Amino acid sequence: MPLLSLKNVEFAWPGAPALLRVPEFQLEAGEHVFLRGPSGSGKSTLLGLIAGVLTADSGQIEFDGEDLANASNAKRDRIRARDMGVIFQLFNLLPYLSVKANVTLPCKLSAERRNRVAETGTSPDEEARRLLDRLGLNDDRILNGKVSNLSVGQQQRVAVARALMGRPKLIIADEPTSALDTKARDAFLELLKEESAAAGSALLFVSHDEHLGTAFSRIEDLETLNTIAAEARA
Amino acid sequence: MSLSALISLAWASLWNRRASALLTITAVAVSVMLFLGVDKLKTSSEESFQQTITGTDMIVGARTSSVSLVMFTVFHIGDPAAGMTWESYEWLQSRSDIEWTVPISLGDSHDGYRVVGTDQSFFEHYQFRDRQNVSFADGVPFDDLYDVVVGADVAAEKGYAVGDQIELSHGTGPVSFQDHSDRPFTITGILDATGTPVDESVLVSLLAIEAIHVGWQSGAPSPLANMMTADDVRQLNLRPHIISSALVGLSDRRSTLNTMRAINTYSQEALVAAPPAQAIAEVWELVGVAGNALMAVSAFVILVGLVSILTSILTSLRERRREMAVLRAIGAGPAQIMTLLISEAVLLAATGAAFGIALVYLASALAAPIFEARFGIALAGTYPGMTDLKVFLAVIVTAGVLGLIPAIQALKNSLADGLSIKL
Repeated sequence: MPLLSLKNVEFAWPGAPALLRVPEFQLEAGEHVFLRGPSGSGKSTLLGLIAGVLTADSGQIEFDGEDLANASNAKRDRIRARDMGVIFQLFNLLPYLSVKANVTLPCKLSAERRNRVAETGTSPDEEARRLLDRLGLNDDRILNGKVSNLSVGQQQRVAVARALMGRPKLIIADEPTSALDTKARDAFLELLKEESAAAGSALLFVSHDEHLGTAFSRIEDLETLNTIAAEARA
Repeated sequence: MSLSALISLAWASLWNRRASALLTITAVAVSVMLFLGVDKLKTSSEESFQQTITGTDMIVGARTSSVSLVMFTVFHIGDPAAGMTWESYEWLQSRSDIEWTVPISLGDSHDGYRVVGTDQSFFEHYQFRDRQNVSFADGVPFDDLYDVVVGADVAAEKGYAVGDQIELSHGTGPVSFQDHSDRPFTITGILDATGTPVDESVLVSLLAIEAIHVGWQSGAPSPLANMMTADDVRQLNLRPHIISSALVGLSDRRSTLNTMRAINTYSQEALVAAPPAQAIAEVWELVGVAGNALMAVSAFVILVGLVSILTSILTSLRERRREMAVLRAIGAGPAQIMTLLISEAVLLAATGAAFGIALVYLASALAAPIFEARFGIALAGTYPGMTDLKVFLAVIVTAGVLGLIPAIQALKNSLADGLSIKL
């Protein structure tokens, strides 16, 4: 059974024409997928539907054996808190929390994530330290310091650490490298793939930049997946 | 996310915006302090007003309204329409159900201060606040015909000391053209401040009142008045004829109604007996309106303080859309986003209110001795009480309700934004 499965999913904002129609999309547990999506291809909408922040008008979305499309809002929030890590292009962190508090935040929102950390015989703080260490941020001043003291590259790595906290089943990365320069970008991508693999998480990496796709074994094109975008292009 | 985790998140967020949060907290603190301060002053002044006279069971005078009887006897406001004869006073004294009486004779002044004719029983039986007797800051009660005791304010404002000689005038105007300048009185005592009209009184014996009036019976000085010296008057066989009213203490308070009936139906003279507490409460209902108006105004000031919380959170929302999207992405639901913002409003209000309450107690601890000495008002409630708790809770609940407005706004934003972050 795939980790994530979409069938005949349709979405439109109220009063607007249909924006997204995905006949079929699947993601296996632990699988890494590059999803190429230029702006306007319905990328944000698709990620919103997968994360359970948006509700599909029709179709089926199953995640980890649960029916996301028909779940209550509260249940979808709980599933997201438990088993998804999201990395944005920028501004992933809460400016008023320390780096460590940002990384351990998912454990505050989800008991399951807290328990999964505990099962490995460590505390959220220790796990945050370990993850940041793996991501090249092993300085105590960084760990307890303010988010605003970090460079953009460092902030994105902290965001990876937070997404991986408590080993969620799916990491959604939405243009996480577009604010980085080429060299930092490649290093970041390698780290993200390595750590996702180490945590056993599937990775859905979305970018308009097809060059990044060379690092992935499976590449999907949102302009093909989303038949509405495909029609508009034709 | 648990409520305590959300509240600590709200704290961290407020701390991050501490400059503007502090301003908001100050606005709430000052408004709460104003409200509680006005409330305390109102309560305290009501208490000291109602405790202007205690231990006196009734006041008796010539027939008039009970309010007017109490007003002129205790507060020296207004004048007695008619006097009570000395014979009636002696009849009161002779009754077995009456334990003590204090005669009060008004109608003269000293430089704008009321002259109160009475006798030694005043010092023994007039009580105020929690059954306190008047006490002497200096000197002793009057004894001689030309002795006089002055209240604390009179002594302080006029700079009088024991042994000074003063003149008393006929009539009650601030400036009298007919000073009884040929009758020199000597101050034998100065009273401690009481916070009652006694502070502004000049106390003399009933015979002194008669002495002032020798030769003045027609209302203007007769040739006799000018001819007689102070010592000549001393030779006259003076005795009181008319007094204004009498303070009465009963042997047994259970007989109040019977004694009142006996006095009210006294056949020789039309008299009225009035328990002072009841009349004073009636007067306070009129005076207290000003206090209630002040309370209403300061309640609105609290509302303004709370609206400033609303303003500060609403303004912050625009720059916090990203923060809300991040929280949503980590798994926070709409209810948690709303709880976070309501917690912020409640935290600001609670901190402000707590500071406000602390400030009131600090201020009243500092001001209490001054109020006591200058106005004779004992500030109520040295420790936080029910009123403070009620105001604290009301402020928090109102802030929570007002917090719904930014909370709903944030909810709308985050539902529209979904997972995308508006840059």
